[in-house]
Parts: sequence; C-alpha cells; structure tokens
Amino acid sequence: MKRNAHIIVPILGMLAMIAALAGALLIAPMEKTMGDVQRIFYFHLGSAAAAFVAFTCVFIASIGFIVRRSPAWDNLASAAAEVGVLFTTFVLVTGPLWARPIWGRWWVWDPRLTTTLMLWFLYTGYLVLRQTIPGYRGAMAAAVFAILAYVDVPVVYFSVRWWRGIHPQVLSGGGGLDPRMIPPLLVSVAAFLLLSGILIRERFTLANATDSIDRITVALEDMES
Amino acid sequence: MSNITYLFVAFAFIWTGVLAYLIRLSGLRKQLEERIDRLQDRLEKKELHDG
Repeated sequence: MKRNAHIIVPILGMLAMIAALAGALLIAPMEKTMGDVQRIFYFHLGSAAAAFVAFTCVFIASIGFIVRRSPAWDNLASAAAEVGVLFTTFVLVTGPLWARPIWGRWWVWDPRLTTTLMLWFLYTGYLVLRQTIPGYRGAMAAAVFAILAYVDVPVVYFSVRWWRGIHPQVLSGGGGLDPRMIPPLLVSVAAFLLLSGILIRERFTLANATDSIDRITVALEDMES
Repeated sequence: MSNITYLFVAFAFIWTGVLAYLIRLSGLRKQLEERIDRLQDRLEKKELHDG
C-alpha cells in the first residue's frame, strides 16, 4: 500500500477534484438571486481553505526550523508557501470574477479582500526573500518573516466580523447558506485540501532531494580537488 | 459576459493554474534527474580513475 501511495494519492486527488467539480456544477442547487455564477463559491472557498492550511504549515515548519535548525523544516516551509501563494492567487482571481456580475465591480477595498491581497504579497515576499538570501542565513530570515506574516491569516479570517465590509460572512454566521449547498461545499474543501497536500508533499520531496544532491556534489568536488 | 461565462473563466483559471504548477514540478523533477545522471557519471569516472 505504502509503495503504491505515490500513484494512489494523486489519483485520489484527481478523483476528488472531479467530484468537487461535479458537486459544484451538477449537485449544488442554483442560488436564487445570484444564479449560476454563485457556483464559483465552491472553488473560491476551497482555495481559501487550502491556502490557510498551507500557511499554517509554513508557520509550524518555520518554528520547527528555528527550534531544530534542520534544512528539512525550511524546505517544508518554502514548499507550503509556494502552494499557499498558488491557492491565494486562485482566491484573488475567482473572487473578482464572482464580484463583477454581483457587486458590479471587479474589486472593492473591503477588509476581507484587502487583507487577502496583503496575505498574497506577504508570502510572495517570503518566497522572494528565500530565493534572494541563500543558505542558513536566508532560511533563518525567512522563518522569522513567515512567523510574523502568519499574523495576517487570522486577520483575514476575522476581518468580516471585525470590520463588517461588503464580503459576506459564510462560515461565521449570517451567510444564509442553503443546507443543500453544504455537502458539495465539504467535498470541494476536502478536494482542495487533498490537492494542496499532494502538491506540498511533491515540492517538499523535490527540495529535499535537491539538497541531498547539492551536498553530494560539494563532497565530490572536495574529493576531486 | 454572461453569468455562466464568469463561472467557467474562474474554473478554467484554477485548472490552468494547477496544471501550470504540475508542469513546474515535473520540470524540477527532470532537472534533478539530469543532475543525478551527471553525478553518477562523475562518480563512475572517479572510481575508474582511483582504480
């Protein structure tokens, strides 16, 4: 079972994404006022959940790096940050595509939207920082930065409650979600979480393998010289 | 654009993004495999040289 996991897990991920697509398009009821465009919600929220989990992973791995000083923790943090930025990009693109026909505008400087954009900039900055300063110094600077940047994650989540902008409160009450929308929503969130987990794992494995090859290359060059 | 067009543009963006990331990962994997091959060649040459 474990030997075949690298084949079975991506297949499960693909099936889960197809199930999420089917759930959003075929099973979920049409929202009365917004119509079909509201179906973006299932992937918008799934992407947001995946991004939050990825950034939580960055936070934990950064603490792990500071405590243990092991490059594996740094690799895990940067792998999760990369995937988190990808899913935040999905949130930031699908949101305006949903907002345009409903609010009549692509973008509003609403607290939820603004803090999410900040989140994207913070973790893109993290990736730039990680690339710019190589070695241990860069890893430590990036870990400290990631821990500080994580403050924005709860701010994004609670922004709809604290500042009451135009963005609806879906999970924290007042969203008026039709009970028939909940099963496809849960399938979608699960599919996105599984997909992000697969991508983080794959990126992490590649980063660790690159580190090992770097070490072997340096050792070989030392032996040759 | 009609409502349904916004919906499909959003879905297409997500699937394209996932696909692009998978292509990036496969590119990184390919680079890594090439580096492993080069490393193996160097090790074999070194073994031959050292007798």
